[in-house]
Amino acid sequence: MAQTGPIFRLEGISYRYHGRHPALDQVDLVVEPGEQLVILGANGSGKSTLLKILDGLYRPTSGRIWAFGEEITDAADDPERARWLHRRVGLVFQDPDVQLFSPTVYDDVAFGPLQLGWPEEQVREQVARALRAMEVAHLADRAPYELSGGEKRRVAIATVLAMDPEVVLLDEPTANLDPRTRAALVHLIRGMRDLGKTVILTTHELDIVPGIATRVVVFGDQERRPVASGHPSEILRDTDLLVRTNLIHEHLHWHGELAHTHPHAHDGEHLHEHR
Amino acid sequence: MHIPDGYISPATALAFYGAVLPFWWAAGQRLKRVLTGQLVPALALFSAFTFAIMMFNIPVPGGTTAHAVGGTLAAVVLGPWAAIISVSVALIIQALFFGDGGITAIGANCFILGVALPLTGYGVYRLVSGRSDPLSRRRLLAAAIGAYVGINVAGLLVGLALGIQPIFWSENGRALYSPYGLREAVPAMLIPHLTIAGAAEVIATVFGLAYVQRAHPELLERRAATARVAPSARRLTLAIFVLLALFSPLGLLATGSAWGEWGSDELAQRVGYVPRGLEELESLWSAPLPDYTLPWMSETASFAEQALAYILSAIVGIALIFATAFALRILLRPRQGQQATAGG
Amino acid sequence: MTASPTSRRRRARKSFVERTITGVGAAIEQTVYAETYARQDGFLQRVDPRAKVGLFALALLVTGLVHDLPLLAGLWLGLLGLGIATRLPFRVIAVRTMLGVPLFTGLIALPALFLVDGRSLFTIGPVGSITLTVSDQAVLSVATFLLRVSASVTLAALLVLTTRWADLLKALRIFRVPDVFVIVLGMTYRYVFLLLRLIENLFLGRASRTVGRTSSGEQRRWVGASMGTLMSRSLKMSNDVYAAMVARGFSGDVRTLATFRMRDEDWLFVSLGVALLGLAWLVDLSR
Repeated sequence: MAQTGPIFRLEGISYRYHGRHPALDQVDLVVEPGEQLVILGANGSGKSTLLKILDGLYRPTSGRIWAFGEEITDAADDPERARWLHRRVGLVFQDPDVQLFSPTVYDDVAFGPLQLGWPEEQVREQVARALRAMEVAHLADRAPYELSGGEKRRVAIATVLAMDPEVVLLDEPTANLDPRTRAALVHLIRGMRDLGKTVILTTHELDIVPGIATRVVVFGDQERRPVASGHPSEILRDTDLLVRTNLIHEHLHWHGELAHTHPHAHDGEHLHEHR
Repeated sequence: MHIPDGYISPATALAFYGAVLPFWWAAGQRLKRVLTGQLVPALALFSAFTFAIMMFNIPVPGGTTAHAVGGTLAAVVLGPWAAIISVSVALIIQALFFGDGGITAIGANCFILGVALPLTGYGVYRLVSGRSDPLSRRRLLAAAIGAYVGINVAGLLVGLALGIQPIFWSENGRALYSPYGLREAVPAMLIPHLTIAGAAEVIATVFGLAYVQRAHPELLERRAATARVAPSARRLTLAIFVLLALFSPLGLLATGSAWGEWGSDELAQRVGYVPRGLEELESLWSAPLPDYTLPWMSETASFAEQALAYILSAIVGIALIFATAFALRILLRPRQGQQATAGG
Repeated sequence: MTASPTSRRRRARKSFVERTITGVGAAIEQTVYAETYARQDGFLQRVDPRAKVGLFALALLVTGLVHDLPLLAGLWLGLLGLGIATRLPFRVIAVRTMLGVPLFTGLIALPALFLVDGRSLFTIGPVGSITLTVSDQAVLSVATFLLRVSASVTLAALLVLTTRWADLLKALRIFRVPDVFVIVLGMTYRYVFLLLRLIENLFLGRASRTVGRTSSGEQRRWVGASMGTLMSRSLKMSNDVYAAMVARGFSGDVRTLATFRMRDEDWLFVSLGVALLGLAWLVDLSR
């Protein structure tokens, strides 16, 4: 089903935990079909909450949200609407252990298709395809606790892909992974573009952005809403913005007798010269 | 203590399964209503938590350590019905996968540790805490007393369950299961529970509850609001005590003559009662079946045993026929390739 | 080197941490290993889990009912042989089936040798005013008890060591156990590991930080706090897992895939097993 209008539209979305702690404040956002959107924000800036609202798991404290043209503000309390939404939107949680709750990898990947009520043959086919796509077919009969961090991540994504959603939401997918696993994962996520999926991904790690994003939205951790939006190259060059939103920090180091500060996000920037 | 297999007779084990099943069913119904969709993950995590608690070595006065069950703590924080299920599930996992406790004995262990312990502990807790503030020290005291009573009721039940084995299941003076009578089993269970195990249980419960009072007061406040007032807890506690009272005639046995020192008439009295009843039955049935006695059974075998032997022989015969048939099928299979293995 | 009284006490006090770490580590290791053996290519491993679970239940019943001592002994030895035939290393079988519960049972049954009455076999003493008599019925009782316990434990070990736990739980459905129950059991087992690792980390952290003596009050408070941490984590996970299930379409009833299919070999196993057990029971009745 081709989507003509925006996939998501958020107006004034706010969320408070237990009615007290603000996580999101007056968020306005539009996501077009086929985008690969990266939401950049420091830890604790409300990004996870946003994804849960996009998937209809949390009910916003105020504001309205539309998905695929239909309003889903009340989806958390409406099982029918929720199921309709979950069929089309997949969410990969930050903690893969939460998502791998079945005895084996195969059971976990099959869970989604089974709950959607698909016939057995189709379920098996979808599972096989998802396992292949995330390169975890050899782990099919393992228990979740036998997997490494990177393997768990890939399996978690497979559990969502098996449902063949139009939109894939990923919450900090590369957190705590070693460089090689990260690179492989980024490559796999980029592959979703070829599958025609809309991808929304949250992260605070700047180096994976160029590989994945068609657009970047920066969240302010004080403001708790988007403060900038644009092409990855322009956002990543705006160091003032990045410092302001706590994505990079000013770093002090010594060159011989010289003390030198510069904004710093990762190791590459240390290879510079002083005249 | 978890009862292993072989300590109690299948009849005892079956009786305990019968006793625990209604509680499981009732708890399941109650929880389904309260937890609705969240039933599965909530029960799984509660049970995993209960299992984890049982892994703790708790330092008790005197320098040793002991394990706690935490059934009363679970009942206080999660509610008695959730406690029944979570302790039972934890015990089943321990029995099946860790060999901790027997499998025929699952009913017994779940009844004693998963039903009797949490319910009596919770009942006493509610009685002592009354309507006091859920975050008060009185609640801690109530939980301590409840935990202590609960674990000792459990210890007593284990002692009783083991102690009656040689009385009812012996053959010519040879015990077929646990060889210790009530005189040995009950004190042997009660003494460590009154001291070490009791201390561990109290420590786990009090300090665990204290933490919840500080860190998750909303849990306790919510429980105080939704928990039905004393009557249901009192009814449950009463039910447990009634059951215990039913066991008390065995106390007469315990205080009577020591195991094995019964006079022959006493023995005939006890053991002879059952066959006499069967004898009467046999006289009713002997008419149609006199020529069906099986040659390999001794003449003193009761009717029930003979019938069982007859049925068993039939089953053995049929099973052997099937075995032969499948063996032939396997041998006569065409030799190309491997047969698809089962499973997915 | 003789330990000073204070360091001895320190060791005993500290040992609740060590003991827990050991216990938890052993639990984790045991399960991981059981899965390894269950994945090997022995004949028992290949049998359909439902056939194994069904026959196991029957075997456990028969083991519980058998009176005849030689028959019990034969049962136990037969089971041990089965374990060896299915490529389980003898050391593993021995540890599971002779140490642990059977050893414990043997130890607690020793006093019974002197308590059960019957025809006196031999006497120890008199030592002071105490005379201990070992009767024939005492020996037979203890032997029966020990053999039955050992056979039961061996049976359970065979089942667990040759069947993957996920399959074992699914096979429980043949007993008409409700699906919800099987799923809760499976999820519990899966998350037990998470919590066991958490306990390990908590206790290892304490072990590395503790220098010198700590008061028993502080220790107990710490134990309470650790339990509390576990509780918080469990509660949070319970909510998160539920959200994850809902996000994948869960609406209350869990649907599952039928995965097992019985082959001829499995039926052969079942029918032979039933025949043997039935025969054993018959023989037992006739004695």
